[in-house]
Amino acid sequence: MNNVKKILVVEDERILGEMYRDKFSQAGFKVILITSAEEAIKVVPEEKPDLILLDILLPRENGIVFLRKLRENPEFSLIPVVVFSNFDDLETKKQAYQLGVKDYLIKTGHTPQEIIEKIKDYLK
Amino acid sequence: MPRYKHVKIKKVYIGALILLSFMFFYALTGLINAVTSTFLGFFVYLKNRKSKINQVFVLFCLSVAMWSYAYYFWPEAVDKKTALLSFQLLHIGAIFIPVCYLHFVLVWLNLYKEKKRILKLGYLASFILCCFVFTPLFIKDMVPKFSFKYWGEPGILYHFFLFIFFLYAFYAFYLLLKAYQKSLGTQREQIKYILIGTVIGYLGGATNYPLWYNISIPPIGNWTATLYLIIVAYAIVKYRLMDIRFVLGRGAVYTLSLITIITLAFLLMFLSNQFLSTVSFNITGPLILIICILLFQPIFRFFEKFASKYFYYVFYSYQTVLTDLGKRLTQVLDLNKLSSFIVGTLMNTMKLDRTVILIREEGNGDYRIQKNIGFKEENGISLVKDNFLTVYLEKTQMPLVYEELSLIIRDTPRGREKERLETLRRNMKTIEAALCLPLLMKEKIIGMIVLGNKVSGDPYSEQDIELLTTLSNQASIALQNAKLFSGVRNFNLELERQVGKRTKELSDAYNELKKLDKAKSEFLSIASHQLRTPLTAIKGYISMIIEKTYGEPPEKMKTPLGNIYLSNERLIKLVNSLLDVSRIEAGRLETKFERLSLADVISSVIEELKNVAREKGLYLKLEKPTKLIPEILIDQQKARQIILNLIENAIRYTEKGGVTIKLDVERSKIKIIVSDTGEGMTKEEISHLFESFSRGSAGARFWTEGAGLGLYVAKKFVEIHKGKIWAESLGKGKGSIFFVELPVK
Repeated sequence: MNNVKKILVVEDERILGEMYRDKFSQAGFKVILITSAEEAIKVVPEEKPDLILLDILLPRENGIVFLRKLRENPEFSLIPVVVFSNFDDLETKKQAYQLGVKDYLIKTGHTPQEIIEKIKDYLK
Repeated sequence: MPRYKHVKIKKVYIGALILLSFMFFYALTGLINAVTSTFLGFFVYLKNRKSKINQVFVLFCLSVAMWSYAYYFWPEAVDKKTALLSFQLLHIGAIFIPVCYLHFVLVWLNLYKEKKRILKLGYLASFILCCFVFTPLFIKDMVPKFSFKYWGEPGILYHFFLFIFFLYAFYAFYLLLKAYQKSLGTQREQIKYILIGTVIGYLGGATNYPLWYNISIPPIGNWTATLYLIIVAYAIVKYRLMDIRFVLGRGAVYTLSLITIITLAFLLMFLSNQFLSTVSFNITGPLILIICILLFQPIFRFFEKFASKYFYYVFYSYQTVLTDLGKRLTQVLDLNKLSSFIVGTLMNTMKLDRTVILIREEGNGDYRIQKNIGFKEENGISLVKDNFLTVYLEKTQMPLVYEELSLIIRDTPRGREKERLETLRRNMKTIEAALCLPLLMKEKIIGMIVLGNKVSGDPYSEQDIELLTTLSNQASIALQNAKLFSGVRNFNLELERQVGKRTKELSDAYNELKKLDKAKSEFLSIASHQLRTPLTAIKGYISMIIEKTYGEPPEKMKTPLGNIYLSNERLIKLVNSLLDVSRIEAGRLETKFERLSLADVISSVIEELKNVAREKGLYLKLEKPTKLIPEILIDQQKARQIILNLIENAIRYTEKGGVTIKLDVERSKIKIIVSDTGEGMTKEEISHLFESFSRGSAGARFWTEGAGLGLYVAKKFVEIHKGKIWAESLGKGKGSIFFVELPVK
């Protein structure tokens, strides 16, 4: 089962998180759903995900803080991160790209299926 | 010895000349006295015929004139008989001089009723004496005395005459002296004048008597009668007297100068006689005269300077101070400082007990106290409570002296003005104001300086008034300047204050607006984000249902599910527009320019909206351009948004026909033309077309379906591309055409 890719979904909205988990699971990914940045940073060394799908507006620490912490460890700095958020802010986008994210997707702009297409691209 | 003889003849000649000039001198003094007394008598009488003082003064002048005319003829007398007659006639005048003078003094001092009996007695005695003038009992004989050919020998009554003469003279002098000690102000000054005149006159006049008793003093002081008359007349006629020190100083300077020049003339004559005896006197005489005339002015100036320094030194320094004040006045521009300076200097220099400067406000003409020392506040302004003083001073253009008010009132005919003047005098007395100095500017009063009394009790002299008048002219200009300056300064300060206030108001309003604007943008941003989360969930789940993630949905649910999805998409678009607007208004639009083909962008939009148009039964087409359309620098997303919004808008308002898109190149511009066959617009609608929903009601009114944001966003995006957007319509029902013009470079 080495082919099964592990995706860490960091999403605080329960409904959305479950929706993506259902879709991605059905599409054959192993999904780890985490609802906060603090928890996510702890989970990364344990789970070693193949890709991280990261929301930006999270309770307490936001997605950018998570990205910074993640990039501090060279071991995890190569894990592809795709931001998916409805927070469409120029400055945040810039910061995210500087921290090496693959894409910054606006959630309303994409169906879960379209996101899977993108993920598949980044996992290649 | 012809030479010796010549000298002797010359000496005789000079001796005779000197004698002649002596005789001429006495005749001349008589004539001067005569003319002066006659003239002054008339002058004073005409000045005020009704005044008792003036009338009595005329009487006095008559007695002096009588004495003087006869005196004039005495030195001319060729024989004893005419000499006697002259002496007898002159004594008729002389007898009456003291009693007339006493009469004058009594009237002057208001003692007439009290001392009537003494006066009557005097007149009686004088008349009796007069009856005996032509008898030897009065003048016994005429004999040579001193260098005079004829002089009188006293008869028995002559002693009696002299007794009466000096008795009455001394009595008058005594009364004056007593009154002088009791009086104040101008009257005191007048009495001082008369007293001094009396002393001069009687002392000079008395030089006529020693020869009678064989004492060798010639009547050299005879001429002083003229001086005496002039001084007294001056004291009567003038309201305001010159400082007597000044008058005496002047008199002394003239006298000294004259004596010096005459001495010099005699000295020169003597010297020329001694050393230039060969030269005719006809040559040296005029020469000496010319020298004397030329030297008079320098000598006069020398004595004047001398007298200024030592004799009336106080006055000299006082003038200097006021002159300096005048100079310094022009250097101060601050109204308060200037006023303090004027008041301070006036009070210190003239030693005054109080002074106030009143400034008249422009407009209502009210006075306000600018600077006051010594007056009670309410008193300071009380003189100008009514308009009378202002009008009066504007009329006279002169300082008003309290001491003179009674004389002015006396000379004012009965009526309203007289009453007002009397009221004014009472007011001045109450507040102890002694002088009102108008500050005039082009003959209009701009203010007033009210002065109190001198601490010394001295009245204001002619010089004081002259100096004060000069000073007031300078002060008027200085005060007016200061007033203008302070006006300008106050105006500036007020202006600055107002500008500051308005600026603060504006800046407050601006900050308030900025806050509101920020709040609005933040609200839009947060609201949009919060709206997007449920929209994402709806979009995700519906798409997953349609994609059969949860198994095959029933056939009849497919259309409703599609509709839900589309509706949700519309909502998502709306929220995106709102976000765009909030970004535009917050100035936080991101741009990414690339060189792209506009035709490609348009085609992709048409592709996207094809189905929407088709469902409405409308055509949607891009006309193939006739020219080559160059690629231009555009932000793809925004360019797409512009075109999308315009076409969506056209489809929304078109029910029949369709939408045509054209591309055109004109010079350096690319034009996108979106025309429809829809309902068209009125001019009013066009004018509000590109406003955001928040900018006016018109937009919201006719944009019933949309939020009215599409065209606003399009316009903003066009502006980012430095382009232009506008719309045209032939009217309702005639379709619309939207134009976008973008620069090629």
